[in-house]
Amino acid sequence: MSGLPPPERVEGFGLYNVSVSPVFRPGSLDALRVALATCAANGSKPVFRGAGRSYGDAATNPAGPVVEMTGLNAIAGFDEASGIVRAGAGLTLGELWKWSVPRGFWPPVVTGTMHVTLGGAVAMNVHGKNGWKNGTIGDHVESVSILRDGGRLEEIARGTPAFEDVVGNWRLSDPIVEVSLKLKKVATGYLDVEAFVAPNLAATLAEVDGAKEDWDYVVGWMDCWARGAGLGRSVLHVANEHPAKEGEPLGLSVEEQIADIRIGPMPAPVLLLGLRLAAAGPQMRFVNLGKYAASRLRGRTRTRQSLVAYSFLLDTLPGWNEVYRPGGFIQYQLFVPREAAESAFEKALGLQHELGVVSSLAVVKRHRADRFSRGYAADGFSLALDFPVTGRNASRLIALARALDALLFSCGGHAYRAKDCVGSVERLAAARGAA
Amino acid sequence: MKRVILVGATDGLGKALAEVYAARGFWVTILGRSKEKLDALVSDLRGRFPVATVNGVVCDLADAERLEPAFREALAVTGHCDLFLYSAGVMHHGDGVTSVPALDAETMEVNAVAAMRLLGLAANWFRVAGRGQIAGISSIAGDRGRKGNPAYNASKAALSTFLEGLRNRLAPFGVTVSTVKPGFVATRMTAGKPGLFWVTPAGEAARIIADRLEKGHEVFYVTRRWAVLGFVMRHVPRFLFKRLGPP
Repeated sequence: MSGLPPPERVEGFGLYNVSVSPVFRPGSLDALRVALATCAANGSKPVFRGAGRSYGDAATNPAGPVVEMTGLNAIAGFDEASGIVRAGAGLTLGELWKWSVPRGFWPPVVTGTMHVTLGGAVAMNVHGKNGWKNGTIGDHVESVSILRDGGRLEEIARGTPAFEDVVGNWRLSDPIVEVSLKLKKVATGYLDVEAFVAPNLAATLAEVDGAKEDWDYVVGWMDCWARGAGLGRSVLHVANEHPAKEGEPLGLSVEEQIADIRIGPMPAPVLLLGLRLAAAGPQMRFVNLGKYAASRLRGRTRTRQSLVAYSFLLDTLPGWNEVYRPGGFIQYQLFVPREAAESAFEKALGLQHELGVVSSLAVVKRHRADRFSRGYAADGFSLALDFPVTGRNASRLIALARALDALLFSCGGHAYRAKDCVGSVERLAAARGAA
Repeated sequence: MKRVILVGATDGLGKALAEVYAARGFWVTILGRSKEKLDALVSDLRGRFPVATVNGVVCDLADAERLEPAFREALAVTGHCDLFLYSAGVMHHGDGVTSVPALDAETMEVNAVAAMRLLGLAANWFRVAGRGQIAGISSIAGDRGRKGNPAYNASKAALSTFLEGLRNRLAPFGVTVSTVKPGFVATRMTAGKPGLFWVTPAGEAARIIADRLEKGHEVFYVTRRWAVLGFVMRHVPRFLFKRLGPP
């Protein structure tokens, strides 16, 4: 093994999946070429890693090297008229918005964390809270540049068969090195956010579905602990662009965007400590109950929030995933067609109680049918479930995950590679291949 | 959710352990020499425990060149590893008084040398991973050298001491290393052997081992009453041990 860096611990965002891999961190195209040549000389196939925000094992390599792409993050060009920005695949959404917001532009699709790279976002074809209106990021990519084996750069434009092969293709053996993304023009950096509750699953799905045409962003926080009449109750946050008004700040500066991020009266270290104590235990029942009850008491509220504060809720409390050490946590996200959603989610909630592992945090979203052949989103809903992994719940948790696999199989749903921690994507593909 | 790599699990106690982990729905990757036995076991476990993810990797422990590739292959199919468990072992029943050097050497080769090679690879992996557990099925037989099977005693003593060294080496990195010392377990290894007592069925022994490993126990006998015998064995003075001459 010559030229490989010393192996190091590489983690998925959920901290449950790890690998021990030599990691290359190229800072230039030439360095990337050298890294790929070294891998080839050692007969090993690298895995390309962005910022490591995939929850599971997507950006780890159990038996080989990892190439971390975050060094290739230069912004190569911008056309103000069309809003198309061209940037290195290692550029994160966080770096991108800090650059684009002062220019009046915002990424058309953003994930719940700003720390994902453009390359990773394309390879996973990520979605956001505006999944119904704006689809997945692939819908807004104009072209990508790929470093083919041998070191040749290939530009792949939207509308070609090669483009179809790239979007959502996390198995791609050649790295994406540049992405051209069409940003959207925003009048202000603010959103008008409405928060309200839905008392049960049917109401949650009806509200999420009903809001999809009138609101750009729609997301529900489901309390999985509630049972009986309250099964599937949620707090919903819907948002539209805040129009520019005379005499109001536009919010198009990094400072204004960040100023809107609020975590309440508790300082972050105290919150993290509280979360560490509660995260793996049944106390999460009360956290979920509190969130729902507080929102219900407040009634329907309307607030103005910065794009960053609304979009990147996962970044509000940096390092929150660390509270799940040592076992880590997994996320299981079910993508289910619209007509099957109510019964499938009811089963998914029932299974959690039956097996005694209840999600500490659950998010429901509405999606339009993915037009890419490697798509995972149907015209329907998704439910993302977070579960801490402990020695005590391990056996029940894997039983739950397999039961959810079977549920997805039977209702024509999909699992999602960026969230998959337990091999569900492969299992579903194998089951569908065999069926 | 555990991901377990088992070495020597196509037979005996290892096989019983594979069943216990598969029954818990875990990832179980088995290294075994015989492809036929391995395939049969893997498909049997997959059929009985569909929740589990069971894979086999063919690996002849006598083939030193094969060990590292087999270890990598096992990691690749398992994703990562939470528990690396070495349970391969051979015991040659002689007449109790005659040494057969070739068989003695083979005993040492499988029980100790191959164990060190594989456990060493695992230890390097776990040190960097910074978590997880390594375990070896040693034996109460490793506590003292007895007249009946000195080579077996020596091989298990080597394994126990090697594991102790790894335990001390890896402790600062958050890795647990466990030494399991079973007494008599009802497997092919002990079948037909005279003078057996306190024999534990393989399935029960495996369940006990899995539970105690889960709790992070570092050195333990199976079953507990063997711990009493182990204590006595370790502390009987040499002159007395020689005169009593346990087989």
